[in-house]
Amino acid sequence: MIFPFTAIVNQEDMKLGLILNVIDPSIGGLLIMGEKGTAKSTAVRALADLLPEIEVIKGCKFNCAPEGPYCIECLEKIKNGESIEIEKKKMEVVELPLGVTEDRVVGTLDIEYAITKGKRHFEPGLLAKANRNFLYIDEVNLLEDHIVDLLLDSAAMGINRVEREGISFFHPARFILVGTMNPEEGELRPQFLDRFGLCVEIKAITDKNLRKEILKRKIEFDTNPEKFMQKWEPEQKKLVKRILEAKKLISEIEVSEEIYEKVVELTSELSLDGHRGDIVLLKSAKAHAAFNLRKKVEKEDIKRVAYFALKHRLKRLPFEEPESEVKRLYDILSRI
Amino acid sequence: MISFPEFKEAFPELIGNYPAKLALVLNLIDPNCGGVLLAGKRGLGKSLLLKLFKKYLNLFKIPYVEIPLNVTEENLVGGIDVEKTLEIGYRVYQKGLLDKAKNAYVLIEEINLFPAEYLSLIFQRSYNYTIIATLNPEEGFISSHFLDKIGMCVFLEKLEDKKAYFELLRFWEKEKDLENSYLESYSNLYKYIEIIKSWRTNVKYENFIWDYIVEICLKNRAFTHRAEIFLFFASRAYAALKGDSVIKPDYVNFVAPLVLLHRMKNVEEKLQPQQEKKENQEQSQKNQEEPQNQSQNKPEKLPQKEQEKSSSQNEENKEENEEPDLDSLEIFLPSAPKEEIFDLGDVFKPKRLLLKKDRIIRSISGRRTKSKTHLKGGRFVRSVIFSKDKDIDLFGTIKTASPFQKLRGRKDKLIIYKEDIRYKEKERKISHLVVFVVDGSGSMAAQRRMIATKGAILSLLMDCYQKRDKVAMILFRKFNADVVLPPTSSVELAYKKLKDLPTGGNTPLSAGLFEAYKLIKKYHLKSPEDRILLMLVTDGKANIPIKIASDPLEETENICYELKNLSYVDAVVVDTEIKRDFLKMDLAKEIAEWLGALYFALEEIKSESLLNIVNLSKNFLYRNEAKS
Repeated sequence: MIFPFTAIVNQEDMKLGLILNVIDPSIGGLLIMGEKGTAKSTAVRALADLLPEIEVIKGCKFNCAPEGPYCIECLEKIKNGESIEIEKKKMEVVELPLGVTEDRVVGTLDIEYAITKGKRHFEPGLLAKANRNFLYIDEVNLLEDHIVDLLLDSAAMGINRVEREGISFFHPARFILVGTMNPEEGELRPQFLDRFGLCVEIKAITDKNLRKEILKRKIEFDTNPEKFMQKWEPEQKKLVKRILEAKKLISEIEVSEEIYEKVVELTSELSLDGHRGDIVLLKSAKAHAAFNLRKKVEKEDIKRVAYFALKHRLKRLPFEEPESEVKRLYDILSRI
Repeated sequence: MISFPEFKEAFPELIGNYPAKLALVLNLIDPNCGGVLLAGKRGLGKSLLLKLFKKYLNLFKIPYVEIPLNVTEENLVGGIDVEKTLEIGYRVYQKGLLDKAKNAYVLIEEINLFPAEYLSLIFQRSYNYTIIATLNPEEGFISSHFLDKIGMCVFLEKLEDKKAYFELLRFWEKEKDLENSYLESYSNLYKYIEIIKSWRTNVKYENFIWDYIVEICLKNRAFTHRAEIFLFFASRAYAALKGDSVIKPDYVNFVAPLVLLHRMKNVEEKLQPQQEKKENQEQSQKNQEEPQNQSQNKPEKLPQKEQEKSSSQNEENKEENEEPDLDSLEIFLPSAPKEEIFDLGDVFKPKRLLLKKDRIIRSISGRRTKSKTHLKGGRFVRSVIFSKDKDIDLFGTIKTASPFQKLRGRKDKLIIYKEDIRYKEKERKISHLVVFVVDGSGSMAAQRRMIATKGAILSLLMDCYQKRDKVAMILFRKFNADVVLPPTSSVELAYKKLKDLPTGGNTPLSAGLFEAYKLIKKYHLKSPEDRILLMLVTDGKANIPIKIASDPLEETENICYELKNLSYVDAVVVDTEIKRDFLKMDLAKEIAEWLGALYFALEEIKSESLLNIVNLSKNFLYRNEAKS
């Protein structure tokens, strides 16, 4: 049994960051920077548990969506005119452990098949499993470089292309990348940092009453999980409904000329590298509007999400505190 | 109402160490307590206690799993049994130790010696099982991130009481049959624990106890929520042990040190023998004017011992008066340095310091030097016939077997003979520990030399940052040397320390090098495969010896030779002496010779003015060959 998402006390930034990514997975994931013991992994698991089942092509190892994109195998099926059956599956949190090997991540030669049939065949790895699910990396800053490179590739393209051990294969790998890190234990490569759509910082709560509430709920949950789940059922249902509505709404969201201007103004004034910042900012503002069941992006949406979308993209030399840039960001935001 | 007479009677083979016994008993009562880390120097009974715990589990058929230090990843998490698979022709899975550990106790000896990758696997699912581990802080700690996932931590104490000590000697005089001794005591313990176990869920709690728990945690700066959660379960278990039906604040107080000690900030630093810490401690004691801590002011030769003792003293006190003062848990205040602190000088791109690629197989990751690796990770380089670890390169194997298929009479199954099997050779970059030994003496303050020095160190730090090196920093000045920063991969942290590095006083150079020597030895024990780079930043004008009345330079020379004899250490000396000065002595150059180190004047370390990389690495090559 998993602790209910809505029962997580406070940590609003983290919760919102996750929800925005669910509403629009193309935002590109969430990096959670924070100390230990602040409900990071609980939140991710809880959200996956909360969400309704997704439709996948039956028998597909890569969770291909009925509407595509497809993996090689499904493509072949469609080409051959075979009928596609649809089944429902619960969303998963696929965890990438620190010592993971290359073949576990991207997939490898299927040993059984190779031996019994004497033919090359692809055995899916974690990226296949993560397609349309959450890919969760704890302590992402401690991940080995060559694994990071693999993830960078797939995260950018949404496709896992395998060329190794004599096999060529590709399959869609669109996942919500959630990473956690404690910045005191080492930094993340800027290039990888940039791949995370949003970044939130969470701090341990020091308010006595909030902490008390957390402890109470956790003990309540541990001693009688069924009862606790029942108690939170209405809240959970409400949130699911809201997220689903937002997901439907997102394609209808309007963005006025003024909002475009504001976004560009903001990012150009901060002189960010690249355009990912602008794009992510706009996307998450849209998702935020949808989450509040509005059809139009307002300035408030930008204000709320700008910090998540831009903070980790601010210019900064190693060892330099980004404080001054952060201050500038707030200054500009207050003008909007 | 039941009451367990004395948890002190548990595990009678070990004398004393009641906090540790209490922690184990609480975890037997309620596995929600989150496990125990038994810390302490060698010979204090950590392993014995773990053995006794295992004996208890064995006697009463309680499931447990042991994870030995030589465990492989496959054994840990399970996977495909490749060799069997190849033999039989269909897939054979093997279950990992951690899969078997669900709802069981996991016993781990010397947990700090496991590679970080394995620890991350072990702790990833730690909510499934209860970890009981031992650790010797002399050989390094585990990351606070992992530490937080263990419920309790106890520092074993040396017996101070003479009577108890005699008892111990008398006890161990005769050969013991550990397996069969004190069986009655164990079965009594079991009976009690079983009763208490079912009782614990009846223990009620009143509303104010939440506030109380939260307050204790906040007061001791244990900010993770696990502190409160574990403290709650521990208090409840203790209330049950006491046969009570409500959790009382007293119970919380009693178990709080077990849960909070390792969650307070800087527990690791606390265990480092550091003069500075002692100063702080004294300061904070004066500030707080706490009678309980006054007893610690006795001068001690070994600060570490004192700290360990004092923590256990606190615990003992708690046992005796049952009304402990919360503030008696050691809390260190950061000292306000009175000395001059210089700004950081200009940053520049330092020369690349390359070490040659050797052929030793290692299991470390980093970015500076490439090395062969036997961990599962790493980049696949080629397929080989022999390999120590059995990581089969399947493609290579099939490729080798394929030309012979017809000859071997293949029908439908691929025919693979033993001689076809190929293994994977992998490579990854290993990391280095760079130990900065920095001169903070008064001569460095002259003409604001420290600014340039800090700039140089910062530049070198930047290099470490890009290469994912670990760094440690030792500062020597006044009369002694301090480990300002124990080995860490957070270069950021090193930067922060560097910013606040004080200057002023004498030059106890030999003490600085000796501290480095100790640190390097200790680090090498833990990570024998890491290479270490000693970066000595000084003008070489040693004027304070370690031993009173001996010649500081002679001492330095001796330690330098010791360091030079360590084959895994490379050294670089950065000379901060002002060269246009009349009084230039070039002492640092001499020290570099003693160390067999590369020598640079401060100005030279900027990349524009240095020799090219090839020369530099050749220099290292030469030295390494000379050593071996």
